[in-house]
Amino acid sequence: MKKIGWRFALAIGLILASFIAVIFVNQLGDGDRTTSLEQRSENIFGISSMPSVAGSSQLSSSWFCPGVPGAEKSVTSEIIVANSTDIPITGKVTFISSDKPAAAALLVVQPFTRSVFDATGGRKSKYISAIVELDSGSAAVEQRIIHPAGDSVSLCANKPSDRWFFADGFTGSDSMFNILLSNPFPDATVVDISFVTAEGKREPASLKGVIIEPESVFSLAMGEQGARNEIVLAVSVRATAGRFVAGKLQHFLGRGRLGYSTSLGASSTSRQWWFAGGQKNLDTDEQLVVFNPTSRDQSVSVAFLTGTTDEIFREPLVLTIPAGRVTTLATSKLPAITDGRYGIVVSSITDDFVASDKDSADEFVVVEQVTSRKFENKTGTTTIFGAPFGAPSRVWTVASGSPASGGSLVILNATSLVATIKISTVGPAGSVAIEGFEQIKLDAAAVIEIKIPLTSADLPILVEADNEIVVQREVNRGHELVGVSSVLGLPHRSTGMTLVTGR
Amino acid sequence: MNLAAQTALKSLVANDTIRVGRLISPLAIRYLVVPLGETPSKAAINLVESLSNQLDLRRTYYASDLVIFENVSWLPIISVLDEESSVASEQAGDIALTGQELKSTMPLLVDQNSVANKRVKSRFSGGTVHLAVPFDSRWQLFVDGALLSPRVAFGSSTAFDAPIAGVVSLHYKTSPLRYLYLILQTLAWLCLLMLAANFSRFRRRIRQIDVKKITLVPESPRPEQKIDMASR
Repeated sequence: MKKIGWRFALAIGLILASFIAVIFVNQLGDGDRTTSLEQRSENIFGISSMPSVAGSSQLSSSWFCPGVPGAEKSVTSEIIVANSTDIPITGKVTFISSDKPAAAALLVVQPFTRSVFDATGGRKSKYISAIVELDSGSAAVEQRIIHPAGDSVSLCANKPSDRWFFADGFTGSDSMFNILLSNPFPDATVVDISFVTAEGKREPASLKGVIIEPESVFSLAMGEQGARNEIVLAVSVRATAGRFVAGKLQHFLGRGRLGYSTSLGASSTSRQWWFAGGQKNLDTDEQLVVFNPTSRDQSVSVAFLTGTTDEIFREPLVLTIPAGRVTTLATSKLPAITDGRYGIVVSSITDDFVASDKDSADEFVVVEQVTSRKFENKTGTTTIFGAPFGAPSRVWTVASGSPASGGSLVILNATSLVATIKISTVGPAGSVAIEGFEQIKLDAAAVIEIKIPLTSADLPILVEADNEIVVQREVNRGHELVGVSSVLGLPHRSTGMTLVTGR
Repeated sequence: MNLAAQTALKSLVANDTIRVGRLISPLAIRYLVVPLGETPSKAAINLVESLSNQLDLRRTYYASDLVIFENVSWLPIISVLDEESSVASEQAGDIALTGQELKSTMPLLVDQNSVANKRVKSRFSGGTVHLAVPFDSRWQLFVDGALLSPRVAFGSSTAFDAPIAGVVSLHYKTSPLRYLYLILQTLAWLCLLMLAANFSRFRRRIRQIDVKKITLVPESPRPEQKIDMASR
């Protein structure tokens, strides 16, 4: 009797052990997979809304450029792809336009070089946007328009969005303000467009349910939409179906502004905006344009960062922007700011965001900086979005570098610690520090302007720091024009980017 | 192919691709359905977010509790690839898939049966026939009776380069070893069943019952009763 029980128990035990082993092995596999996904998610879903370089953690990257004019004989345009790795990068560029079917071309970028491609792909359309898909996460892409009224560089987005904002539109003196909406998807995208002038918010029926055809570019001249001769003009574009990419082309023709400026829109609002390139002197007219696209009033604090201790602790300026309105702050006219370079940080103080844990669905503000520089009755105007919350990073790439016509980097230390910075160019020998810029000490909340030597012109630039910084590039507008064109660098995603909660 | 699907989904979740439709195209996946339920989890929302950014997915149905995307780059389970896709199918890896849109010129052998049990025959004019099944050298494609051997396509699925036109039929030649494995598996299960059930225990139980001697005692004869009816 005992012998029978033993064998029976052994058999049952074996079966049970097999089942347990199967369950254990399955769970072990699931656990590994979950951990892997979570680790990736932390980097992917917790990033700033600003375009950025993914780095080696990602096997590919995508760039959606805001668009260029394709039918103006006097205008040329480029897509710049920088490869700072030691292996060739291959990919594809797809051109979508306002009136022609999409077309694609293959591209190869050799190691430690930057390649320049025609942003129109040789096509003649009114407006053309490029989508660049690359087999490396370390690539960086920018768009450059060479215009008789001033060359302009703009960032390309990493992904489309269902909403885009522009704080500074300007149609004074019949200045051109065109919005380009690119739909790279096989489905039509439907958008509602509203804009805000000095008189208030307007939502024309003609701008409701605007259809952007699949794989096409839709352009909107705001002057022709009832927003002519406006010095305050902010625009919200929200999709009711689908996603898209939005950029703006501005040609300033008077009322204190002259020149040509392009920019990718802001794909979300943010509770914080960082500007590295603040400047006060007799020849510079600077404005901060704060757009509140939400339905409730927003209060923001504006702090000016000069690295001087007593100014850091000075009470920040507080502005309240009514719901759906724009407030312009003429920083050049603030007597408290001393002449010279400074950084600016605009922070929403509507909610105590440090304590708040449910504001991820909330919207905040969009801030743009408008800078007009004058020299002997000539003016050059540039507009730039700030770096949103989460964007300050320890590594930044400037894809197209500094042009031979001259340019500089303006670096803001976004922390309260002293930062050590190294500036390198990426050339045939790889990443090599520029002589004299191997170790630059930058005080807490301080700004430094660095002229890039001509020997390093047209080379991709890498800026590395031991604390979070914001890097802005100011390049000459070419054509012997005064002023500069400002554009942010591209932060590296995996190094120091923090969670974004604003939308 | 599971690995290919897993890699594609990982790339999707990691926002590493905007062409997941092309990545899953050789797997013949046409629809991606995300049930969200009443209170969608963060992971589900992120998944929909990632799917919404894919350039080769079309929104077929978009509601608060259910989202369906259609892969515009999908390939039928059995199809004839166009020339460019045929060249791309000779390479493995994401680049071969995402570099261009895969296109089929026509589906083949369309009926209600599974791939391994296709009963119909189709006529085609030559080209590369792609099967959205894991590569196995036992797949056989016959074109007008001529046997074609398969090759690996896109690093995971199966393709036949058929430069001849004719009537096509598809078969899977099962390995004789499979039957051997089935017999072995059946035997193993039987052994396990016998071990667990232990049929011999009934016999042993019978054996273990103590043997008792039964002595038959003859019944003692009872005296014959006589009733004297006369004395009554």
